[in-house]
Amino acid sequence: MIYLDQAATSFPKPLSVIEEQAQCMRTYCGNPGHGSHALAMAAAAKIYECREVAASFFGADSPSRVVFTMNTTMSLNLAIKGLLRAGDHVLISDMEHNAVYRPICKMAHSGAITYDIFPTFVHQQGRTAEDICQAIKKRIRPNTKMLVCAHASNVCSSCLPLEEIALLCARHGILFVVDAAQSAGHVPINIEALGIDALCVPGHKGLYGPQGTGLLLLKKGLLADTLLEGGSGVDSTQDSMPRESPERYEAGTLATPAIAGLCEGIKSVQAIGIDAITEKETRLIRYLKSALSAMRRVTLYASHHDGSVLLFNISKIPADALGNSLNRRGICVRAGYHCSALGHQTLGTPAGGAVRVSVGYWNETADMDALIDALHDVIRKGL
Amino acid sequence: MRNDFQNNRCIAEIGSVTEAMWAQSLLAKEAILCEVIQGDSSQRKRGCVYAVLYDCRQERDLKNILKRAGIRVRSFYGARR
Repeated sequence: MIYLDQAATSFPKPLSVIEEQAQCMRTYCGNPGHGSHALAMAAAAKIYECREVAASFFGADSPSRVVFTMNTTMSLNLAIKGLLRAGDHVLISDMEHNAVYRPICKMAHSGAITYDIFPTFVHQQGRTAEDICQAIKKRIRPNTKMLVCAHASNVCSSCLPLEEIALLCARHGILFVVDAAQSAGHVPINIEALGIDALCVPGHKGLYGPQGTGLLLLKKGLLADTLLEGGSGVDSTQDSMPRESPERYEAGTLATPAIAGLCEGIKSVQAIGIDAITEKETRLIRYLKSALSAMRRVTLYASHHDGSVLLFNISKIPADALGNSLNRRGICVRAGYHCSALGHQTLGTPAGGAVRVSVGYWNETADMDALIDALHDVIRKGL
Repeated sequence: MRNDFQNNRCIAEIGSVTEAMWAQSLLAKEAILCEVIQGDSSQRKRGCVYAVLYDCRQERDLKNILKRAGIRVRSFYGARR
């Protein structure tokens, strides 16, 4: 089986991730931060270690900035709903995932907020950070409170210039929330250096952790409202959540085995090195792009961007049917709209969306060759 | 706990387990060894709290290190109080 759906979740996971989860379940899976017996403290120590590793990885000044969530979607919902107030205006890009688009739309439909979509000029070769910043600037209003955008798109390899957007946001007193679902672990991100207010990260994609893990890194001093209320292991006689991060945002028992695995996943990324990961993924996609560009009937979307994702269609074959056909040939890709109707609309894909290939560090050139052969076969013989 | 106090051990009540472990980690880097414990919630109106147990003789350094890091200590208990 050839796995080319790394943008959905990374596979396989490093052995250290699997082993640490098992070790946790076997030897130290107490309830972290709830109690002080040996097992609870051992679990708490592992959770803390993961906060330290994540804080250092993303350039946060303290492990207290690292909030554990279930996934990027939960991190984004927490940042968006926790920081926005009635009457606020929000800016989002034209390439957003539903994890951004739906919470914003829900709040807008209820009349609580308003929003505008800024163009990212994803089709333009040679677009500049200045082009994007100008488009944002034009849409800033006196009540613009937040800008939310995906660092890297999940449907093509387009990446936004975080540094320039962060500067613009800082100049206008706008909170900058970044969806790093497709960039964390693939490209370096330093929240302090970049000036990001809230960074939303999946644990199970580029960081090689288990599913059910996500991170929210909040800038020092930002106090968001909570999404969930419940036990926090501190100030238990009070009727509200504590003000201290991260416990304020982590009601209930944490997923200790999964977080223990995530900790090892981040260490694996550090051991390989982000530059090596970026280089390999980019090389594989360039190789694939070059072969697909030469194929008749193949349409590539915004393929001038370098990264780990390639979106395409074969004329007269619906994306879903092509995805299923590749699956029968032992190749896992993702077809459809990829939970980003907005991104697909911007890219101009037909009804039914397109087929996405996404690679990771563990993929090899042979995987690309197998996909290329399978596509030739489909074009020649049909599904 | 009383034995700890008799052995010249003091307690700084921090708050959450994360803050307490962060304090422990920062102190360890400055050669101040301490243990994270759960504070005595019967003495506290707000309920559960995590604390660090340390050598009272290192209190001045401990206070400086935690202050520098922005870690707020809710209260101190110990042998010399």
